[in-house]
Amino acid sequence: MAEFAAEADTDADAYGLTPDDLRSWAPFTPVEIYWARKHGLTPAVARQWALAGLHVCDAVRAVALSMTTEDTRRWTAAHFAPSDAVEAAEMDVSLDVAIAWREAGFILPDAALLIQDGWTLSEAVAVARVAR
Amino acid sequence: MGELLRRYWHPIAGAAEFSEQDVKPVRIFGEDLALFRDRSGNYGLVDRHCPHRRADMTYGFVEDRGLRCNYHGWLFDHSGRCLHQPFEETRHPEGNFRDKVRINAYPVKEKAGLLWAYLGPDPAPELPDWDRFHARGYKQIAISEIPCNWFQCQENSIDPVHFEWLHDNWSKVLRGEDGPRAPAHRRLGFDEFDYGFIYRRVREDTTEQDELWTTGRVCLWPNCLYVGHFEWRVPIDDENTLSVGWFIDELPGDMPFEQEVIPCWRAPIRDERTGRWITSHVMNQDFVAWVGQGAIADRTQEHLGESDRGVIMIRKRLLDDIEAVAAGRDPMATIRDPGANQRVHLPNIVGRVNRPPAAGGPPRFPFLAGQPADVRAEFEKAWQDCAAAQTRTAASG
Repeated sequence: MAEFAAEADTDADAYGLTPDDLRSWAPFTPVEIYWARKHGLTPAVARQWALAGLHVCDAVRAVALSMTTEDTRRWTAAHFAPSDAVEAAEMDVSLDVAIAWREAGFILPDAALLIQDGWTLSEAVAVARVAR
Repeated sequence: MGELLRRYWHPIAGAAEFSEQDVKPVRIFGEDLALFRDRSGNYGLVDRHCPHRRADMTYGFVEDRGLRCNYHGWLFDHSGRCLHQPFEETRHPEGNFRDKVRINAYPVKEKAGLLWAYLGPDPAPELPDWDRFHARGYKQIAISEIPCNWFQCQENSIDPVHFEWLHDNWSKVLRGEDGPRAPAHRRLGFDEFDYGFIYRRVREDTTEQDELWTTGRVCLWPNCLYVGHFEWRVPIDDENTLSVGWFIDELPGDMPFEQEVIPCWRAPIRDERTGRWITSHVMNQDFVAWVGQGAIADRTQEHLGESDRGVIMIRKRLLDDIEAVAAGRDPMATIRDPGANQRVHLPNIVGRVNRPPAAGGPPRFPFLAGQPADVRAEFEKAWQDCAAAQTRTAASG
């Protein structure tokens, strides 16, 4: 813990954070606090997204997309990672499409990149799935 | 090749390599070049072939200013300007033919014992001044040529689970150990920051209070791993990568320590006795995995899983940044403000790999096979000198 404290202090100094900053942003790390502030997130908003399972950097993306925590709940209810909701929103992938790709063995971020690159699910399965 | 990567400075050699030579051949981004230092101390990186009759400039010779082709004596400075054409100027002293000829040239800077080249359009961004470059410790540079594409090397920089298997468990097997497996990964996290991505992990033997989660490791954009030391993956061409490692060993005590020259050595990757890849050291093990993926890994044949979320993240970023550059924007981690480029901080776990020096003596070099004996001896001497000073200070205090 002493070593962690030393490094946290180094990070905090590097990002211009005071002990008060660290207290008011607890439990976020200096890098997370820096990133949240840089993108205009308040501690309350960052905590709200953290409760929904999103790291600060994903919360920043979610806010930029005008998402709500309820949007992520639809995805987590379908057993996707909370960050998948953000990824899907950014890449314009619907929940139904994501489920279909997942059933074929593609995790959401991989499927989203393939879809963006113009692949259909059947093409991707034909090329990339040995166990089909 | 590489419109995106050309927006960054890349390490291409060690400055120490120019203690015994003035010119060396370099291949980077598919271009064959000659790297030289003239007698005024200017570094230049120019086309390997003379624009006159295409002779090999790496057999040229340096002068007070520039590099002279050994074929007909044309002289070029580090900016590519032709300074002298001996016979042309004898026959036409009034002529200005030399002003009509240039050799393609790229800027070179020296920092932290490395020579850095910028092969992109003007204006060049700042050459990052990472805070770690200024840390106290014994520094060394090791360079290897890896026969595969750079990006599969970089994907390794954001792949936490590989460490458990490729390094921890495989090393046990290689040592003939039959004991329990290394602590398994339980949770991963990936975050973006100004200079790349941070990956975090929780293993069976750690919690979210551990630095492995709270601080994490840095996938430094676009082609480096930072874990207290740096590992750059610089494209030689599509199917070969220059692995440039910059290492620092912390030294006992706080006696001032200045290193006049940062040694640079070439690390072998193949075992000459067996013809197989060397497997004994951490980075050599990485090389085995990367080269094993093929000269250019065929991503259509992969089956990506939960452990690959970081890999997918940087693939997406790579594609986004290619688009950004095509649209005329700066890609991620480009530093333009000189004022912001002072000892730029990178998160670093201080309590693990870079643990304070132990009392038992200088640690062995774990990263690459082939460390020269003179480099090892120099480090040991520095370590012992600092340890002795620390002992004296403690005794007098």
